[in-house]
Amino acid sequence: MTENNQQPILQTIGVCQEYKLPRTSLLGKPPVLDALKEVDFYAMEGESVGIVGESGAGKSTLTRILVGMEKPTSGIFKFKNQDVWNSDDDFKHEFRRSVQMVLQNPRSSFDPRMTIGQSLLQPLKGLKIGGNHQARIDEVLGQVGLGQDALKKYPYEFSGGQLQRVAIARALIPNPKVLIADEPVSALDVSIQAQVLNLLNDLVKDLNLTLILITHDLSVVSYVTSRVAIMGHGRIVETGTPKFLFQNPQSEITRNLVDSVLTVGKGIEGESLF
Amino acid sequence: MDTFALKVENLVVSLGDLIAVRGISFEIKKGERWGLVGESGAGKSLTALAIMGLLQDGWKTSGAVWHDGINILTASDKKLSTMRGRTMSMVFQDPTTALNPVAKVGNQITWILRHHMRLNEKEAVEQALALLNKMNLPRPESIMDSYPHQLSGGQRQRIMIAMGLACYPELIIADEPTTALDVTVQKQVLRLLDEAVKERNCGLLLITHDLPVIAAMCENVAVMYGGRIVETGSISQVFKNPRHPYTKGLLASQPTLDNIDLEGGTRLTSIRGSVPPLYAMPDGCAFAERCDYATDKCKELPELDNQIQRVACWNPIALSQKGV
Amino acid sequence: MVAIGIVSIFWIPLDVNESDPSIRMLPIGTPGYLFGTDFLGRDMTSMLMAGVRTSIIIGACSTFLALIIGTLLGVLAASLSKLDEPIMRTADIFMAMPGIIFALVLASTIGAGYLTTILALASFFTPAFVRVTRASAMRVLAEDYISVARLYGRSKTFITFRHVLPNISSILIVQFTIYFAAGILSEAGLSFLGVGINRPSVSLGMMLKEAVEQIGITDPLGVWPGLGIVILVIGLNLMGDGLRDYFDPRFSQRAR
Repeated sequence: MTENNQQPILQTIGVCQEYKLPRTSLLGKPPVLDALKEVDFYAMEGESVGIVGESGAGKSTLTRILVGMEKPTSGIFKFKNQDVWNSDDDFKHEFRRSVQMVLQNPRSSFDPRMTIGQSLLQPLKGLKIGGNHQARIDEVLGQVGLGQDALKKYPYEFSGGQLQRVAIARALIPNPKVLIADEPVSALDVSIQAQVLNLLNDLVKDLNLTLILITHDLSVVSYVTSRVAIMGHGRIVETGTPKFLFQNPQSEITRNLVDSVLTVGKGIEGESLF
Repeated sequence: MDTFALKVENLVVSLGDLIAVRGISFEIKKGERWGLVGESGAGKSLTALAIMGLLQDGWKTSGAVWHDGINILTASDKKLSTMRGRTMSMVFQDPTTALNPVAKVGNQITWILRHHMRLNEKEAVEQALALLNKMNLPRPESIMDSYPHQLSGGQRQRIMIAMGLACYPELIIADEPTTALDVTVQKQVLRLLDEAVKERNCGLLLITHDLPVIAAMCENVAVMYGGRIVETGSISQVFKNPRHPYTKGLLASQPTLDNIDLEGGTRLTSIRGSVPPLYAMPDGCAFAERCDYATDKCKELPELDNQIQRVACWNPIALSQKGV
Repeated sequence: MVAIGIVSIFWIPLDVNESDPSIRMLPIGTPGYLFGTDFLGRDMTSMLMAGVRTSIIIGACSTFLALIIGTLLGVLAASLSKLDEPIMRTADIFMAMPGIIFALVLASTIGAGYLTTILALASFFTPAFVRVTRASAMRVLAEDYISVARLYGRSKTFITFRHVLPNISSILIVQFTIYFAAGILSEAGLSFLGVGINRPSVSLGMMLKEAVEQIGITDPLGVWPGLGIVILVIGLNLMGDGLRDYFDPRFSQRAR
């Protein structure tokens, strides 16, 4: 793939992340978990990239770094080609506004004691965004296909799929450039998954968003993204288009993932059912 | 002896005014493998619990669930406990909570063998090791000696399956058995379950929302929506030529390699709207408000018809003219 | 919820705050007074009402105090990991101390009475509140919306007051009623031993003590205060259960 002169909007270079584990003995250094090892990841503006891997592969850790929740133990994390953790407060603030996240479990993402309206105000207040707050909230609700009657309701009054839309709306409020979606449909019913995935696709197109989709489901990622990074054991083991990965998996991890995909038309040994 | 492993007759499950399961009936013959598909709110979890006799106090049932000559809904706890694990066993979704955390795995397996099959300790241990071997668990002796928390999710699930198979039951009920597992582990576990079930000629009732899993494991499927079964038939019938609009929508909306174009040209069709909540279930067909084929007649509740591929719909999708 | 209602009815007629503290000395006569008079001729009815009032006040104050301090410490322990260990170990120490000994010590230094009892009970209950609060707060802090709030730049104070506290409030309310009941029982016990409330104040436990001294001599005087204690405690426990049920399935049931 040829890159034009543009730099990636989000990039990690040689990023490693270590976690200290509780001590098992009094002497010596405490054990360390290498969650990420020398990870080079990038996303271009307007691109939809997927990060796929099993649990323990390091996707959640990478996600936390990309969203600025954690600082990598070593390596550089850049936004708009500038090192995020070594920049001034203004840039950090711009980063926080520009990179937003949608999480897997919509119920856990909202304070059950706050109305949706109150929850949607949080980014505006916390990130000190000016302008007409009410208008902005109405606008994003419209973008995800929800009405203003949602504002006075509490999270428990919504279904999982609807709540996930609210989560997307909330992520859109600061007018971000990058939307990071961590397993956005795994907790949702099958017939709702398509609704949310279609919504993400539409938003990416309409708002020229950069989408980073993290999942363990290769089918989902194939539907939404144009380039996928496969992770295993804390590293990125392979990247490519979904088609390429499915048809010519290079690494064993990718092969295993591809092999494990079940479809409605095939039996357990891959035999055709119809 | 009955010809069936399980027979559900007009099962209704309710809690006060809320009716969660609205009268479902189906039969699993010995050795047959059925999938029960439904999303949240369809009532499949409650159906599973009712069939296993594990409903909490407060839930009322009517109808009958026949297994091994007894009606599970009315049987005493004592009778149920002799049946569970012996003729009917269960595999649950969460391997962490299904195994006793303070007992070694080996003891949990041998207990079942000694209790139900009257084996002595030595025989039970041998059988247990054989089972674990079958489940492709390496170093079964050390696994027998471990506690559940020392093992991985996939291992625990295989142990649960081993425990379920131990007494050669007539029927295994698996409720979302692989939903909590990684994708690669899921395939291994399903393969094992598949082999084991085939080998022992057990019946299987696999309950899940994951359509490809059912396609991989079962021969027949029943689709639940709004507390009722809306379509039933063999996998090749229902998944290839769905008759009920909901089934069709379900198949079209799940991103699987069958319906997405890897070049990025497709768009998944979603089913508009959402499942009506239990307290606002419409009188007629529960799916009507989301259905593209709905007519006035749908205000009346449709029943399952009597064709080979049964559907409960006033406007079913016509089967294609192939002779399959 | 019906339980709460029934219980409140039971409970309220005893809770008459306008009970007159007049403890008149009358000769031992019987009818004319609702509950008669005791061995010194004092009006049982007034004493009962005063006793109930005392129980309630002491129960409420001590539990409330424990709630405030316990919540504060519990939330601190949950949010600031450096404070976690010290706070919890201190709580353990307090828990290990037998409450009665502590009450005795306090009684001998400050003297028995309202304040002593309240302090003794409060210190006895606080560790429990610290534990419960810490556990609930930790659960809340693990939720995604807390991470989201942090990403929006919300300060720790904001998160604590606007996110954590409201979400643990239902648990705390239930704990409060439970310990309220325990407080009443404990106060009765302490007063019974002479360490809690003494004349001229009145308490149900104290009445029991005096009744015990009179066993065999006069009619059983201990019946009424005893019954009063039982009703209060059961009533509060039922209310606690009712509240717990009220808060629990409401959200999970509806959300299904």
